[in-house]
Amino acid sequence: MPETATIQVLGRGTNVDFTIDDTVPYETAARNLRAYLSECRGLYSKGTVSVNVGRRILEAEQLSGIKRILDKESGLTVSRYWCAPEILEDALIHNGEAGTFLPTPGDHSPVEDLLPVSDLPAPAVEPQEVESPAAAVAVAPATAEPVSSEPVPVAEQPEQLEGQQLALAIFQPENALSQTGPAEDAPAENAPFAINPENAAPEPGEVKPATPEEIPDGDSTVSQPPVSAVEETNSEPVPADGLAATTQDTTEEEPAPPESGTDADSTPPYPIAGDRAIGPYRGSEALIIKTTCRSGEVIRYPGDVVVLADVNPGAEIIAGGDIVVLGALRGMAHAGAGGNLKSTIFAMNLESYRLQIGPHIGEAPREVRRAKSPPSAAPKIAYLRRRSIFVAPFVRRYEEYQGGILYEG
Amino acid sequence: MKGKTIVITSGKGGVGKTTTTANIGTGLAMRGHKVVVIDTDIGLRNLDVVMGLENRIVYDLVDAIEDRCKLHQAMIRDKHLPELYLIPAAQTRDKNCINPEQLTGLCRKLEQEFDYVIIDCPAGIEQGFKNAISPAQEAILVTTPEVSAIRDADRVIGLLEAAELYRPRLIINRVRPGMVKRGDMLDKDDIVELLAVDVLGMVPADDRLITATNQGVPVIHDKRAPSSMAFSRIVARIDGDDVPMLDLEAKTGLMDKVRDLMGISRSEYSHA
Ligand SMILES: Nc1ncnc2c1ncn2[C@@H]1O[C@H](COP(=O)(O)OP(=O)(O)O)[C@@H](O)[C@H]1O
Ligand SMILES: [Mg+2]
Repeated sequence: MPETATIQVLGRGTNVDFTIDDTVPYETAARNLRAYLSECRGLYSKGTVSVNVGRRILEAEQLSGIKRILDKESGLTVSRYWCAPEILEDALIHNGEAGTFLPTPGDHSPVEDLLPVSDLPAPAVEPQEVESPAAAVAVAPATAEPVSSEPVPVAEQPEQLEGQQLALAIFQPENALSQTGPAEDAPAENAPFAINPENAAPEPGEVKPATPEEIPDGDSTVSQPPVSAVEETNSEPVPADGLAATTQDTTEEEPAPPESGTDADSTPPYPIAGDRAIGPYRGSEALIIKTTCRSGEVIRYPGDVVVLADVNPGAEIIAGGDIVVLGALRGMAHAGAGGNLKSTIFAMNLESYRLQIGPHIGEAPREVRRAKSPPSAAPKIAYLRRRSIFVAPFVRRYEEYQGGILYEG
Repeated sequence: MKGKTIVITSGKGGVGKTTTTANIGTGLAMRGHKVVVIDTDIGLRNLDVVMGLENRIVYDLVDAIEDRCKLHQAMIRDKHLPELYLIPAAQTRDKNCINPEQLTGLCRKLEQEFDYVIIDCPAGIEQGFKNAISPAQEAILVTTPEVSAIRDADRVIGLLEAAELYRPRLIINRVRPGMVKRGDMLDKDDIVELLAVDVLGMVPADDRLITATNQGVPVIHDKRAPSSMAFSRIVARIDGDDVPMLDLEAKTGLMDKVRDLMGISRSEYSHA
């Protein structure tokens, strides 16, 4: 089974959950994560991510392994580590030596139960806070100066978190769904580890993401599993300038459905307000969005994205493959974010003045911007030719576009 | 009796949420309903001023939520309408001092007693907004015909949908028909094209509204004000009446006069 098939993308908006079907040992999960990020290179460059180690015990070396993968492969900045409070306690009992081992996942208890490791007070000096076991934990290296050789999680400027917050959740599907309490009996080897959105932290307004009643029905209108497969772009991903596109050979394989398919297709473990759920990513399938993408929404998807509605100003679509908008495109569209320069942006009404394909940005020429009414309603396609974006009328067959207006970069 | 909770929201400030709340609340009470309006703009209250009830405040929303008073002690009866009540915001606290569950609990109680619970939402999309929308079964979105307000409205529709408040209805406030006619102001169709929601009504920019507001009397009491008529139609639609389009109303003759007053042609308001 191709490694990427074990990755699902569950979030939408500024909080995205990656989910890795992690019934597998650490090494496999790490390899999968690396393969996935490498395939989706370019998609996540601007975000920060916080790592939630949940309830499973991970060795410090393993944790820093995860951090290395994220830093190296994704362009994401790891900003903070989290773990379940009870695990911190366990870790202490088992190890004494705080920091050598870190507790981790398996836990799909409400995110707000998870304490920010890096926010914890230094060592267990103050037992008065101990109603939360984690408070006693010495693990938190937060207060310590980040020592580079120190393999233990380090809070890297949590203040920087204004960027898009991404979440990685790597978990065991069986445990994952709507489980609100700690999974006491989850065997450690199977326990997952999870990386969660930093901003899902206890904030009164959005505290309840994991309570069952908050979880939308699987078929609620916000849930948008990719419904149909779209032919994969027949072209080999071309390394973009400045993008080291180490495309994994796995990308071209037909991914088998993840073992966790049925689980994964139902409710995401903790939908976050402001997000729409996105179904699992299965390699060659397009993501289909059926409702208007509104200002402030960010949709990131490794494959093709099809919007059966408008993309309004202030919304962003960042796709590894093509973008197809069957309404008006007025927001930001970035196709080929993974480096495939053959990616295109199609829209029935292409009204964005700024488009991006791969690393190349194009801006509409003055005539287009100045036009009192938006550009004509004829369907258009934006494509890249020698590092410049052109917008041409769409003629019947996908491959038959040429000429058009230059959107200068 | 089981009432309905409606939140009046916008994203952008100063577009007319408070004005709309006061007038919709008043209008529903004029139609004989039991209504309570709640100011959730904690720290920046002004619904009480707009309704002329400022100097009757003893207890406020936060007092009621924190059990420093009984719920009915925080409710101020309107000067004109015995079935209309206001729960004022606390002025000396901030938006983080209450949470969505608390406000929802309070509204569930009020729904037992009132036909309509109308919530005036603060500007922004932060805690105050989250508090205000959480008890609502319906949302009314106020915007002005300006690009910035419409962007914010679009953002808010997305957030409302995420909170499972689907299909908010839109009020376009401070419309200047003359400018629309000249093409200097976005018209209804431009706005609806972008936001893709139903329009509940349009309210003209109206000097009489400002006068009324300054006197602490919701303009809907001033039957001759153009904005009053607009609010009355909006209220009727909220109350479930199928209020005909303006160009159909023209047959009554009254609306022709309104239209003349506002200097607009029939077609412009054909769906208002
Ligand atoms: N239709 C209108 N015509 C003229 N002035 C208006 C109109 N609607 C609102 N205003 C004025 O605009 C200002 C802001 O309105 P307000 O209801 O307080 O907005 P918000 O509650 O959204 O901040 C007030 O001074 C109000 O009197
Ligand atoms: Mg206000």
